[in-house]
Amino acid sequence: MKLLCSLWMLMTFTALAQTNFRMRAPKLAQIKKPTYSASDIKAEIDFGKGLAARILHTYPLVDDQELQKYVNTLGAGLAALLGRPELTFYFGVIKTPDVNAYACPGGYIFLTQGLIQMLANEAELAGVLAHEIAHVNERHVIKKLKLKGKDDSAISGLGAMIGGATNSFRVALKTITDEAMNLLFGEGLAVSEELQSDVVALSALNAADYRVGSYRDLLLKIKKSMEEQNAKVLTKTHPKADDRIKMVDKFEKKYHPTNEKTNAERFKRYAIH
Amino acid sequence: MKTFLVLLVFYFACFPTWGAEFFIKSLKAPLLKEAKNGSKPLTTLERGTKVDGGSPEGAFVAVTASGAKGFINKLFLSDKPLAEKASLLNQDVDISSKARKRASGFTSAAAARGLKEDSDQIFKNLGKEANATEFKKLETFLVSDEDGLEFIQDVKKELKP
Repeated sequence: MKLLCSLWMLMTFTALAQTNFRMRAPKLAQIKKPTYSASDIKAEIDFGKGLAARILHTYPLVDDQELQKYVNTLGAGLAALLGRPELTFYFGVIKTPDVNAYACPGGYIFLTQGLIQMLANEAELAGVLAHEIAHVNERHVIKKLKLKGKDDSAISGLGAMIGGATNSFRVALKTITDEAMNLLFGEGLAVSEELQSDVVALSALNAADYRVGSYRDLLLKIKKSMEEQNAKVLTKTHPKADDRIKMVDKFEKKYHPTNEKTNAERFKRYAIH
Repeated sequence: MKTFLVLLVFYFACFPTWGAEFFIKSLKAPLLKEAKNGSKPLTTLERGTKVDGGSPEGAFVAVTASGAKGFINKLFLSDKPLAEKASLLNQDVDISSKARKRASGFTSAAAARGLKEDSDQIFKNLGKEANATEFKKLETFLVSDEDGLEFIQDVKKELKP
């Protein structure tokens, strides 16, 4: 009888432990698996180059070497922490008073001059950069446009479109680039993708010892700007600021971050002239 | 009692391992003594290092690496071996052969032979709408991962001249 009881207890505890492990396992699985090939990566980078060059055609880089270098140094540091290791990330501040940031596939990230002017410190800037890196990591634009490096479909076989020197390829590439431009500047990504990137940004701030609450400060400024209708573009392409602020509250409640670093002085030195 | 011990040993031998294999995704990741930021780093693990993971604790995962037990931020881990930097990848994009296959479908073989693998071709294909000069300028601002990491960790407080 004793033996049976012991065995029963052992089995019960083990079952509980296994259930507990299974419940936790999906959390571990949230660390995403790459589901793309080397040819997909090459096509993603090349497509990102083209898209970046198109953005730069409309909005050239701000002529401020120190600002560009600062944003690139901070961005490189964050990309070293959380970026896809197979990509090289580039960051640019573009000339437009709009308040927004754009993540092109392949690691090309743009912040507007209007956004930089709205920021108060390095922690806020780091939050924006981490949010955009998360979009690149998750290949949000690529997934939305259903692009692949190699494909039997003429529409989604990006590699051939990019390298093609025929008119058909040019037209197909132009169409798909137009769609990507519309996604970034008009339609915007899915609300869930924006919120997912917010969570990564908060995790990155926390991991890099920045003040997590800075992200809320930025969102409150964006909210105010939206209400005053200064951030029209952002209204179109991002979820409501209140929903995003709730996400910050939830994160703080869950992880109790205590970091206080904002590097406001360094930000003022390099970003505000 | 003997039977019980035998069963117990047999049972633990079959007990599922809690471990899962992870790889360090970030350039460098501190293995912390406790599952909280600011905890004492036991060691620093390099990108690509394999670690045996256990249960998650908040933003961290308990891991064992190089004989040391500690905690690593989930953000720094991948559950797959890492892909190489794209510039080092074996470029298996066979654009020309792919296009030839397609050529039969919707374009002439002669046109398909005109395909180029040079990725700058995208600028040509996008024509006047792409500002290749401004793009090249963007590329000149590239900063290494190492310099960037030292900057955000405040190891280097100033920009490189």
